[in-house]
Amino acid sequence: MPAALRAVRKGGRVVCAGIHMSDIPSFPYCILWEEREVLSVANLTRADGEEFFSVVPKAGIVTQTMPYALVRANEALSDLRAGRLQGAAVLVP
Amino acid sequence: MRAMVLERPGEQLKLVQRPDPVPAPGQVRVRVEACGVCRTDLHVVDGELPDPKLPIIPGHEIVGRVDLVGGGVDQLAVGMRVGIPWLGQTCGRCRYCRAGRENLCDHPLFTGYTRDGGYATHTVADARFVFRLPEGSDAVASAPLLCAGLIGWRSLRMAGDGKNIGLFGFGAAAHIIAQVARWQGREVFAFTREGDTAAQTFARKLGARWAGSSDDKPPDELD
Repeated sequence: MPAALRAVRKGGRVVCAGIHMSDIPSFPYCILWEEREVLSVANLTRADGEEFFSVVPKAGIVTQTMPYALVRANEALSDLRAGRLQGAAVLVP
Repeated sequence: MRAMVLERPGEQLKLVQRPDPVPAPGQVRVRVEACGVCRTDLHVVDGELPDPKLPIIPGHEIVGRVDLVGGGVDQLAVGMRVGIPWLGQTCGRCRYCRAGRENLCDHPLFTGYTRDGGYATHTVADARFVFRLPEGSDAVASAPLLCAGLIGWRSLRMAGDGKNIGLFGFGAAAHIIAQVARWQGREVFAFTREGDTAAQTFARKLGARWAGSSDDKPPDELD
């Protein structure tokens, strides 16, 4: 997060989208000053979903996926943990 | 049904056979076609989130087809293609729900965390929290949209309307949101782990103007 604050212009905003993060290291006040903002995002609303799924076809989103058989869920989790994935792992029953 | 179940945090998931779940009134049963693996699942499995339901079937990026409908459900029918997201249920009564901020509900249920999710052949869901998906869409390709896409979308909206968007960590969510941001005409700056040139190349392929390590200074200020 401090790295993001250092890269953001005056009045800019850093959005933290994770449900769990490691502790944020202390940082000098000057990288927050000049009305920079930090906020977190929690969960979603159904309205977010309706809006987003209407955008998906218009934006032409193509996802990159790595399919795994359901029984290989532990392997998929390990690959995600180790950063071995590009895009998203998906389990297929 | 078959499911991959977490009995205790820190353990491996175990394959179990269970009777197929029966939807209660207001619920639907969904035959799972694909379920994305999200970083939040890792936090559940590692015990980094408080008070999970245990044992729990993880997974909250679920795409499938309705195969049984509980009483009182009239908006969904057997055979429909649907998506089941992280937000599984809200109380509808707390100050946040009443203010239109159901994401902050005081008494929520979360799919794959406090109610069973999609690492399974079947699951049940509150019909009010299920999204209809296009019939012709590819299940595997659509699964990451249910959280990586959705939470990314919410985050991008909350970032405001600035032109220069920085994405720190170029994983599942970033690879979707980079495409949305480019479609909106914004510039994308991708920050990856130091030396992860594969992720940086991937980001550039998806339209990032710049890609580098998280401690690098981007060529322009971010908004």
